Amino acid sequence: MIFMEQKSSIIFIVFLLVFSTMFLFWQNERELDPNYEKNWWTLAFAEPQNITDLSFVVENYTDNADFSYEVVRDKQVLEKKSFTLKRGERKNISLSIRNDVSSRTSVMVRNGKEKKEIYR
Amino acid sequence: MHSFFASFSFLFVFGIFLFLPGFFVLRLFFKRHLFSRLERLLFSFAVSVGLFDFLALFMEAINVRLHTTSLFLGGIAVLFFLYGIKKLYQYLPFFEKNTSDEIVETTTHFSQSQKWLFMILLGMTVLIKIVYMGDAVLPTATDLGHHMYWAKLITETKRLPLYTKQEIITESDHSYTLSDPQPIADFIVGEHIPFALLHIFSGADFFSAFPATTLLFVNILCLLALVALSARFASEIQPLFPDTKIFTQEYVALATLFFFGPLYTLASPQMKFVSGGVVGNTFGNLFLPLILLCFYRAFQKQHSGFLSLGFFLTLTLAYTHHLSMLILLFVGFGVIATYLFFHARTILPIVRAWLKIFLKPAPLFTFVFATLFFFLVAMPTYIETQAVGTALGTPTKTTRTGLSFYQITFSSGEARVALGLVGLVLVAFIKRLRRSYAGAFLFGWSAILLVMTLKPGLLFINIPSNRIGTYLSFPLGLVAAGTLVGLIALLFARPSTLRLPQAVTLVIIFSLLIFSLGSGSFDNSQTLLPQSKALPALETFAATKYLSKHLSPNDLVLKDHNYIVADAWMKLFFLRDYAYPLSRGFFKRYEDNPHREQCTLLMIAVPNTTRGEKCFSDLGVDYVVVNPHFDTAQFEKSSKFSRVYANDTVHIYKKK
Repeated sequence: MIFMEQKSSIIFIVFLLVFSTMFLFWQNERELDPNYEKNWWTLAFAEPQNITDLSFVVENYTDNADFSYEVVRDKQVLEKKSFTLKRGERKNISLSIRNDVSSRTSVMVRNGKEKKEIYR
Repeated sequence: MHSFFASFSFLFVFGIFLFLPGFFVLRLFFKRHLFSRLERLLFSFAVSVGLFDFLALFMEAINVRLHTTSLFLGGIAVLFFLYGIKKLYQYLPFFEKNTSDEIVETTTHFSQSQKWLFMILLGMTVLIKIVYMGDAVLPTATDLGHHMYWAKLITETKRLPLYTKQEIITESDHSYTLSDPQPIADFIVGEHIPFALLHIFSGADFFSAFPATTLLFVNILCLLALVALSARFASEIQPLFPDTKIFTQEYVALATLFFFGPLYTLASPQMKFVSGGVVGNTFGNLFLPLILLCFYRAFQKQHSGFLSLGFFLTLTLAYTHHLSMLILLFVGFGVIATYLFFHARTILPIVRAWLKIFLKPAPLFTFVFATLFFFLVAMPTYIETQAVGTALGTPTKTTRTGLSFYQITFSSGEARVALGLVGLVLVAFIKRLRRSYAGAFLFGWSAILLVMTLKPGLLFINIPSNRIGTYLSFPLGLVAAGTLVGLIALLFARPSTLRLPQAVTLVIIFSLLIFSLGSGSFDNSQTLLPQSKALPALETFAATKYLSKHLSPNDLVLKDHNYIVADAWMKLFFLRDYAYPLSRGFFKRYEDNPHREQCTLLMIAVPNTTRGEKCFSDLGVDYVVVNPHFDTAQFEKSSKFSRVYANDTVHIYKKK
C-alpha cells in the first residue's frame, strides 16, 4: 500500500492537520473578537447587589461613540446627560441619585437609534 | 498573531503527549513492518490516549494530583515500566516468543496516480470539513459545553471529577429544595482526560478552538482508520479476483476514502458530531475500527500482539464511551457467530487456534491488567451507577423500537446502503468470501447492526435507534467501497468473465459514481449551518462574565436553554456544580415527563404566579438569565425583579 507507506502521504496528513488547526484557531479568535465585524454594546448596573446604587457600566463595541442616558422615575426624568465612548472602551458612570425602593427607577441609555434599559 | 502561537503550542503538545508515547509503545512491542506508516500514526494516537487515561485514573486512585509535573513524570514512569516488561519478556526463557512477528506483509508496486488520488480526496475532505467548522468552531455546542465543564474541573481541582449534580426535589412538606449532589451516568472520564491533558500542558483556553480542533483530528483519524481497515480486508479478498488489477487493496482503500471522505462528510456521525461536541461518540468512532483492525489481524495472522493491543484499546474504549463499548460487544458477537456459522464443520479446531493466540504472554498480561484495573483501580461510571441495565431490555419508547428501512437509507446514505446491501448479499453467496475473516468481519458487523437498528427488540436493546443507526454507516460504507471496486473489476474483466460492450461498462461505472456523488453531496448540503452564532455567543459570555464577577457564594442563578446561544458554556465561568446555573430545558422535556421538576420552567415562563413565586422562595433563586426577544414581558411587568444587565440577546434579572 504505497500511499499508506509513503512518507509523503503522512507528511500530507500532518500538513492537513497543521493547516486545519491554524485556520480554526485563527477563525475562532476572529469570531470571539468583540470588535471584528460586530456592532453591539452592553448596559449593566455597576453594583447589582447594592439595591440603592444606580451607577452603571456601558461597554461599547460599535463605531458610534455618542451615547446619552436618562434616569427616569415615575415618568420623571431625574438626570439626562451625554457621553462619548469609543469602540472597545468601558465606562463606569456614577450617579448621585439613589434608588427609591418603593418605585421603579430606570436607567435608559441610547446609542444612535438603539436604546437599552435597566431598572431597579 | 496570538492564534498563530496558540495553534502551534496546541500542535506541539498534541504531538508530544498524544502521539509520541503511543509511537514509543508500538516500537517497543511490535516489529516495524507489522504496521504501515498510516496505521502507526493511528495507533500511536489511540495508545497514547489509553496510556494517559489509565495514568490519570491510577494517579487519582493513589491520591496524586494531576498537574504538569506529576503527569509528565507519570508518563515517563509508565514508559519505563513498559520498557522493563519488554526486557523481562525478552530475557525470561519460559515466555514463548511470537513467531508470527516475522510475518512480512506483501506490498506491490503502485502508480503515483493512486497517491495523488489519495491526496486529492483527503484534501477535499478536510477542506469541506474545515469550511463547515469555520462557523461551528465557536464554543456554542451544548454537549461540548457540558464536556468541557468536566475537563476544566479536572484542570482546576487537579483531580478527576465525581460525576454528580444537584437536582431540584420536592420535600415531604411540598417545598422545593436542591438535593445533595447525585451521581450521573452520562459522562465517562475518558471523554475528558485528553482535553484536560491538552489544557494542562498547552494552557489553551477552553473557549479557544482547541476542543473542536481535537474532535476534528479524531474525526479525520477515524476516516483514516476506516481506510486502513478496508485496505487490510481487501488484501485478504484480493486473491478472489486473480485476473484483475482493479480489485486491489489500494483501490478499495481509495473507494473507502471516497465514501467516507468527501461524501456524507458533514452528516452524523461525522462533522455533525464534531460540531455538536459529541465527544464520546467521536472517540468511539475512531476506536471501533481500530479495535476491529487489531482483532482482525490477530485472528487472520494468528498474532497475539494484535490481540493484546485490541484488549488494551477495548479497555480504553470502556473508559471513554459506553454506547460504543456496547456496540463493540455486539459486533464482536456478530463477527464470531458469523465466522463460526460459515465454518460450522470446523468449529473446534478454530476455537483451539483462537485459544492458542490468547494463551500467550502479551494478551494474557493485558487481559489480567485490564481485569485488575477494572476491579481494583476504577470502574467506568456507567458500571458503578448501574446504568447498563437501562440500555438493555425491551424497548420502552417508540424512538427505541427501530428505524424503518427508509430512515436507514437516510441516516447511512443511499449510495452506501444500496451498494452495501449488494455487497452483503455477495459475501453471503460467494463461498470463499464468506469463509474469509474479512468476509466474516464485514458480514457480522453489518448484520448485527442492521438487526440492532431495524429490530432492536430482538436483541433486547433499549437505546434510541437513531443513535445505533449512526454506527451502521461504517460497515455498510466499507462493504459499499469493496462492492463498487468489485463491480468495476468485474466490468473490466476479460471477456471470458463478463461480456459487456465497453460503452455499456463505462455508462454503468459512470452511473454508479454519479449516484454516489449525488447522494453524498445532497447529504452534505442538508447539514450546512445557516449562519454564524458569533455575536449571540459573545453576548452570552459577556453577560456570564458580569454575573460571575458579582455573584456571592450563596447566589443561585437560573438561565434559559431554549433561546440563549452557548448557554451550556456558562457553567465554565462558575465551576460550582454541573447543574449550576439551573436551566430551563427544552419545553418538550417537561411535556414528555410530567414527573420532571417544573420549577425551572415556571420561574421563567410564569414567575408571577403562585407556583412560580413558591419556586423562587423555596429555592432562593437570585438571578434569571433570559433572551429579551422571548422572555421579557413577564419580568418587566413584575415589581419583584430588577433588570441589572442588558445586551441584545441577554437580559439578567435580579429577584428583589
